[in-house]
Amino acid sequence: MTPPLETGRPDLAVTLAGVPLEHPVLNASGTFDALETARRFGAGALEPFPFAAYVPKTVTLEARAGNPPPRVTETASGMINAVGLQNPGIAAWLDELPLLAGVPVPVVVNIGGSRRADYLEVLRRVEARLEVHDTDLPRVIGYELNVSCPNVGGGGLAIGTQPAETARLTAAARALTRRLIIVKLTPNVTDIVAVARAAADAGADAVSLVNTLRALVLDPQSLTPCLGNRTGGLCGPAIKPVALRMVWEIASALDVPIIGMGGIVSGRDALEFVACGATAVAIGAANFTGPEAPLRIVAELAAEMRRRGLTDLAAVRGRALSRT
Amino acid sequence: MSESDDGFVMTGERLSRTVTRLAGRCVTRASKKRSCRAIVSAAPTTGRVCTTAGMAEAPPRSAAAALRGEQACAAAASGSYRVVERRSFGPYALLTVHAPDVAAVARPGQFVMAAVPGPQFHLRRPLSLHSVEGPRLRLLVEPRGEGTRALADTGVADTLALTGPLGSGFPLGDVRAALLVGGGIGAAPLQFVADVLRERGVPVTAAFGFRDEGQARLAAAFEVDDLWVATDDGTVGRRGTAVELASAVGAGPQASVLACGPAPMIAQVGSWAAAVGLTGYASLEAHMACGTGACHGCVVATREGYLRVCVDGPVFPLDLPAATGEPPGGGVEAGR
Repeated sequence: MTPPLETGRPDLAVTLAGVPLEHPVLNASGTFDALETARRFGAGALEPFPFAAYVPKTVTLEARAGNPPPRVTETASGMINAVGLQNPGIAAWLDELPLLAGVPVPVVVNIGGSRRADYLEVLRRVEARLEVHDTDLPRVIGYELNVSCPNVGGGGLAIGTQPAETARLTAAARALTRRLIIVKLTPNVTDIVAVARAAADAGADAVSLVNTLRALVLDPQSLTPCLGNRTGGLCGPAIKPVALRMVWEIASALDVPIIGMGGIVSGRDALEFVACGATAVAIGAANFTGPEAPLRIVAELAAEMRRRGLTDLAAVRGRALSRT
Repeated sequence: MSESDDGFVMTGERLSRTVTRLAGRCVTRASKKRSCRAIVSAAPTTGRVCTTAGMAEAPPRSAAAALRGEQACAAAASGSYRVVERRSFGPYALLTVHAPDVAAVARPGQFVMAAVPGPQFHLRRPLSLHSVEGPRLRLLVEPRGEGTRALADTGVADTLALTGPLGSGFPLGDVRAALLVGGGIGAAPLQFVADVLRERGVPVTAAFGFRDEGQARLAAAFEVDDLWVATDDGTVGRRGTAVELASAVGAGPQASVLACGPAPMIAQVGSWAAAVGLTGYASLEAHMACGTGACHGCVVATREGYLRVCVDGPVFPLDLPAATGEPPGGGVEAGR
């Protein structure tokens, strides 16, 4: 599925906050599961691994049941979800961590929580587990702090919509690890640059954006909310222009590395995020259009670059910016 | 009495087939189940071998997990496949797809995720396997919305991008007699069940409930020797629900109840089966996004909490779904 290596193939390699990646395409948390993919399709489906780094689904301190169904439905050029961070909690999660030992790319642990202390405790536990020298663990390069889930109470948006709260969590997390701290930002704010700046100033190595936009879908028959949680988070191509604008704003104002996401379904979409200043990108809803999507997007990105005579992504990064 | 598209004659409640059944169709391939490694690893020493035996090492987390463990190793495929035949039953389409790698490992009760044709962004749609015949799959499609309408309109020689087979199948090993209960389009996977049981000489009775005469045309997409039909409005067959029909028809005290349909129907089947001392399995429907266990978008409330229809199911023990529609302790988060 990857294009054959040929002379003149553009260099897709990027360095994200000091970490070299084979190409810029990651998965958005909660949209791809390496273990489940191997269980369904066999290990061959992960060779080559479809992403340059693997971000598992959000883990929280305690197990979370998640929101009542229905949790997902399609919308015009996108979809809405209100899963509510269903996960087994950090203890059970750590028990399964060795199953990811074979993942051949760096792993970024995505952490959610209801309170700041919960995020920090999860981070501490992962660090403690990684302290024990064990060859049977994946290569965890850092943490993505999910302060932007629109479908849970407390934590989540309550932190990510407030620069001061975001800074406080980021600084505390920063003090606990030498690994990367990536803060995942919400688009549900008036000024995303203020939140990104707070994270960067507090020691974040990178920011990732956007998480989903709070949205509402009605059942056409009953005219009542479709989802069990009533509101949900919108993603898919419908939100790409919003995501691009926010990446563009942050890249114009700050030097913090950016993982751009929101509606990327093609190589050209990915290139647009890079042109707006993103170092890496993530694929979310597109994963649901079929398991071939990520490698197709990587191949399309290479083709787009070749077509434009670009030899590496640095040559195009930030092209859309209008720095003064 | 009315004659359907397919030469089935409806006489009162009962459908008698007037066409000769093709011999030897629908051989199951469960024994060809491939083993697969649970996770990639460059070093074979750290690879975990996911065989049925290997899975037995860990105690099953739950009944649903045990069910899943039994069947989780079949390697799903993903690709584009050619539609080789299309039959219509009113608005419903029965598509035959040449998909040898999917068909080779498919089991009754499993499903595929089908890509909606066209350039727009669409989630794949879960479609259960109506039947498998050699290298071919049959998919019964009800045009419910934009996506399923496009799928139902797929024509012969078009290609269809599919991922599958996915999910657990019906555990049929211990079935000595079967009462198949289907509601609407939910009846789809029960043809495959009937085919496999027929191969094994297990007596099968089917009780299908439809909304009205229009939806009852779906009955003609099934070839089951002992098929009974009811409609809510009584225009075809008995007046009443699938459960009322199943209760009236019966299949003896040894029968396993194997059901598929909308959640309210499954709940009724579960209550009725419990009341008369029958056990069995139900295949559940849900909105899905990934279909492969990643997103947790398709959960159903069960006595064991929210379980994913796509990988923990779609087939669950009949008594597993929570009667209240919410898991014990409530699944509702504080922030709801």
